[in-house]
Amino acid sequence: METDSIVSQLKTFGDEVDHEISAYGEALDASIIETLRIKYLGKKGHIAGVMKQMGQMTPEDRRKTGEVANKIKKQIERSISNAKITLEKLILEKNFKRTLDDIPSHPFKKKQGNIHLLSQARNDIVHIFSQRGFTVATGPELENEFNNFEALGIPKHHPARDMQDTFYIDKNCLLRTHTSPVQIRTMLNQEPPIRIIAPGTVYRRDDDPTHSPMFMQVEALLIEPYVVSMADLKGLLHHFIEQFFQKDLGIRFRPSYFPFVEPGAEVDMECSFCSQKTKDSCRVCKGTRWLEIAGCGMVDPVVFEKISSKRQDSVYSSDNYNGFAFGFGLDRMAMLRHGVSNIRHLYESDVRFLRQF
Amino acid sequence: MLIVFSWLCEHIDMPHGISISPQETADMLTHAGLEVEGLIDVWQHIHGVTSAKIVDKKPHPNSDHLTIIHVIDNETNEPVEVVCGAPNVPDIGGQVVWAKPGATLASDFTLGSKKLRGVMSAGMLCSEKELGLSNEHEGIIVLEGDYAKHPLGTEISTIYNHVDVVFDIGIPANRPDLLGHKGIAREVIALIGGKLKQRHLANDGNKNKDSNIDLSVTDHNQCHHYVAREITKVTVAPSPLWMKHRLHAVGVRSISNVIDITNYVMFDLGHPLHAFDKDCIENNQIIVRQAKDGETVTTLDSVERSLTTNDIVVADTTNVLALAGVMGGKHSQVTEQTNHIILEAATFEPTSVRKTSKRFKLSSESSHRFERGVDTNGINEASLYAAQLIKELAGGQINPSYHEQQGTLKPPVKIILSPLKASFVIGVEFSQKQIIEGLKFSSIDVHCDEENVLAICPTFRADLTREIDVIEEIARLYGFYNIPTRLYGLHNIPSSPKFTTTPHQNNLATYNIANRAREILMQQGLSEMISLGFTSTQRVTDVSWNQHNGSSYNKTVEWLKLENPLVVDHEIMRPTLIPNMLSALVYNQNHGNDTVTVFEIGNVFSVESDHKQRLHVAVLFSGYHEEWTKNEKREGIERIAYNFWDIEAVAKVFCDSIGLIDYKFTPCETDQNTHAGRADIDHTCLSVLHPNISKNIISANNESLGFIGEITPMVMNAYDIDKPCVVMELSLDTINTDSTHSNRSSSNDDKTKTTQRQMQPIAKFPSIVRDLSFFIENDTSPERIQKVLEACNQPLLVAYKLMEIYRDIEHVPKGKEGMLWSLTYRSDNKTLTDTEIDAIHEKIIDEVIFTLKVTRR
Repeated sequence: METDSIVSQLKTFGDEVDHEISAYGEALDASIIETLRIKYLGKKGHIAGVMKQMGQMTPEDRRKTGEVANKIKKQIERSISNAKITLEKLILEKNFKRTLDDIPSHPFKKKQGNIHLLSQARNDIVHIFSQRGFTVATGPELENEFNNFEALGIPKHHPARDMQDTFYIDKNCLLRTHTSPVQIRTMLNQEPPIRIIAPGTVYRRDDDPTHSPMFMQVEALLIEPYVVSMADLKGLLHHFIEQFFQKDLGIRFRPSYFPFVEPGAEVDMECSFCSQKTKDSCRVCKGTRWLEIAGCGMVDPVVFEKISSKRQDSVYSSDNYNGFAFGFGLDRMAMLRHGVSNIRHLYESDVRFLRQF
Repeated sequence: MLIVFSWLCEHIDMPHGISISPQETADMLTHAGLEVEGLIDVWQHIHGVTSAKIVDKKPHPNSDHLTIIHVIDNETNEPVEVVCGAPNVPDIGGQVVWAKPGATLASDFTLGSKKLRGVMSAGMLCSEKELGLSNEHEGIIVLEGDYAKHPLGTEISTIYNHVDVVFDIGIPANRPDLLGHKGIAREVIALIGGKLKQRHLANDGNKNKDSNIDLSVTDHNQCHHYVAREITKVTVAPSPLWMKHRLHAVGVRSISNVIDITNYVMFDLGHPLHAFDKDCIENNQIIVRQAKDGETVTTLDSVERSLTTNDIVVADTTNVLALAGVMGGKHSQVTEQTNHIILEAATFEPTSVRKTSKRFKLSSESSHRFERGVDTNGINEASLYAAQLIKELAGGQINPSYHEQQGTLKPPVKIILSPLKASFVIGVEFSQKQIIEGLKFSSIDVHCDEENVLAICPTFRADLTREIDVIEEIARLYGFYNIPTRLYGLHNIPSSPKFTTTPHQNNLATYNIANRAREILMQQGLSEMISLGFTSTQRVTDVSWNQHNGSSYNKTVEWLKLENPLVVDHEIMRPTLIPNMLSALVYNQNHGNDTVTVFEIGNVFSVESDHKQRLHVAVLFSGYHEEWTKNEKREGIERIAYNFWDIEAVAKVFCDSIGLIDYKFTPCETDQNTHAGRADIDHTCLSVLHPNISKNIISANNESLGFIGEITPMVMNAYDIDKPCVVMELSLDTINTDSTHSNRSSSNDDKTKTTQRQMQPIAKFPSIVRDLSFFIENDTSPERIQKVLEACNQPLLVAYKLMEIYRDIEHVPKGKEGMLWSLTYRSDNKTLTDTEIDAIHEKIIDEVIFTLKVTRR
């Protein structure tokens, strides 16, 4: 008697599972499925409960019931695994229903830092020249008379000193007025050939509104046993301007006087602001279409003489070596490239300026 | 240097068929290295201003100083009425300069008719000032003599054609020969051809014969050449108009004919001259000598100057007559009463003139030229031309005998020039013939010399002494703009140039570490700032520890001071980056920027010889994170202010990233006087930090590398900072030379390689985490726990982390807070078992409980 009712009970289990699963619908989740599995198939689950009673059955009934139980067990297992598949689909569907609105925004934002415009420009310049074999050289901001003036052909009481009003610490210690002393330091310490690029801070006792008493320069020196000429110098500077401004800007040389180069030239570049505009409207070049940007020239033999007498050798001789040098204002280059109208912005440290670059 | 175009042209015999405009001349000169920085046409805006004749004049009925004048010119059929206030209206028939209605005097000023005290005036009669010809505004221009010979109605620009366009030319310091119109004329000729016009000058008379002047020059090294010429019976009067106008155009005030002539000749030939009143010279003696110490002279600018033996003076037996080459003396100046004059033409040693001029801060047109070198061979021409002009314009008689003292004259310099060398330097091939052709019109005399060129350079071209100088001249006249552009090194990069030693100690290493530091801090969200290298005494005193006497620290700091600062605020070379950063903070505060997160990398200075210049990096935080947080107590949302932990976090990231190993943070000592935390890197001796909220950064071998901390309240007050701010400063140079720096591990020689860390093996075995939870006094610094954990010295404890601090909830006793730490254990050799870990963990817990007296939870 019992056997029949047990068998029919087993059969209802199979249907119950399917009912329960479909009753959950979209609310189905992994833990529900696991609970169902334990409820029916677990050690203490319904099927196991039925199996326990089978001990008291006749062998005939036991076999019959066993067959049904196994069949139902398999059915339930199938239902559970189907439910899992359904669940996976459900999860995937849900996931794809998410939109940006569902992503909680948290307040921790990454802050962008800034490298100063002048540092950026300097690094670019060093990079451009390093591709042409130039190495960075630096020198101290506190210099002596010899390196800053005398070795460069500017003795005491030379009118050329008027061009550079100097800050002094004492008689022989001054704030360098240009980066040219790095040329001297390099030649005193090493033998040619030389290709250096020397960025640095310089000081001049200038108090007019378009000048800052401290500013930045970049100096380059090339000394070679091969013949180098003004044409090569012009080419290198043109290449540099093109690379730095990322524009095809022409340059021109005008003769000028710097005691440590001869022939010496002033370098103008085409105005980067008015190339497309009409002639009169440009305030940067004042309608001339040219901007004065650098000084340059072939190394004057007087520099080699001064170096030789200090080194007490004749490695640097005009017979064996020649070369060129140039220098320009880093501030001006950066200002021209980025449209900064007043040099004061560079040193004022207003974060509204600093954060722009 | 101002140059008048018409004056310039008077020197040039143009080549046939060539004429050049002022603009063309300016462009040409600019490209030859004489930069024309300004070009002003005197007449540019003056139109419709013409000569007119007075046909009637009568007093104005309503005024006692106005006159009603009737004028006619070629266009007016009937006389036109003009009202004039000048005192010098000429009589009927006289010619005046009339700006009629419609005329312009300036770019934005057109004349019309205007009622003056009831009478209509058609335009006006002009004074010199109104036309920009001089500062003369007392009276109107009256055209007389040659100026009145033009037909009526002639434009004033035609009548006064001795002035036209004025160039402002930048003259290089090595070209004193260009400090006069004649010199510029030579340049123009060298560029376009033609030749110099020769002036006919009278015979220079007899040298040193009739000795009514006693001239002596004591040192020919100081005064190379001196010519004194006597001119008697001169009439000192105003100069003629053309001279006044030209001098005005070159920026010189007209004084009187004699003085104007000395100036005019200086601007013409470039040679300074001086005229003495002969009657003021005692015993007719002119002595050029060293000044005596304590001697004085009152110069023309009425300043009494005391002299030293470094000054060269022109004197008579009792008085100093002039500061040689710089300025004349008041005592012997030419005045309206002067009858006889001595005209001085001389050359003085550039260096002594410069020294004197610099010492007195007295720069004159004369000293400007002597400093640069005046050609001794030009003296006689200048003296003769001036004497001739004086005779013509001021009457007088030139004494046929003149007095001259001279040292050895410099001969022209002969230079042998190789065309090959010239071609190499310029980058353009030049043959011997081309060079000779190129220099044909220049003042250099060129000849063939086998394959070379012999260049004979005139003495006024003191800049030409070597072959390279002449090569530059060839290039200049050839035109720098004609030099081709070749990209150097395209085929020719030398096989990696050898840089054996570096010119500045560690220079590349310094450059690289600065760039590395820049990147690290930029990645931390900071902005780089650059401030000036100067600061003020006050600003440094505010942040330094030697501001109080009797400090228990004996060390006093001397700052690197400028001898000649521009302003007091800039008198010290900064010994630390902090003061300028604080000033920048204040600047930003005042401009409404409430959050400042910046860093600076720059040199600082001290008098210590080993530390004269040191590279530092500094960071400053003030204001707020961009994040917002829930404030539990006030039930709102608020911004998080930057505090010590932010600067500490950045300092740690920085030290780790730059490659420091085994560095530590130690508390700062407190300065008894300032109650500030002391920090001393590179002899900075700072008292800028809050005594408790600050730390020194110490290297593994106990060197002070830097500091972090909050700015102490006293400094905030001194700088007027209104919001808390935290700073860090580190010496990059010290880091660079510090032996514990990890990049030293491989090779000591190559200092250019930063932070070459060696790989550590990745843990093979899993780690196990255990919690540590206890109650401790409120507001205990997590660091105290950290210290105990470190002291346990358990190698298997590889990490620990503060997870949570909580208070004011159930279970937490009053006055205490709960802390939850998470401790991570791991072995590199095996997987740890729970038993092993539990044993160690219990030991650590016991240690924490014992040392900190906490209650285990």
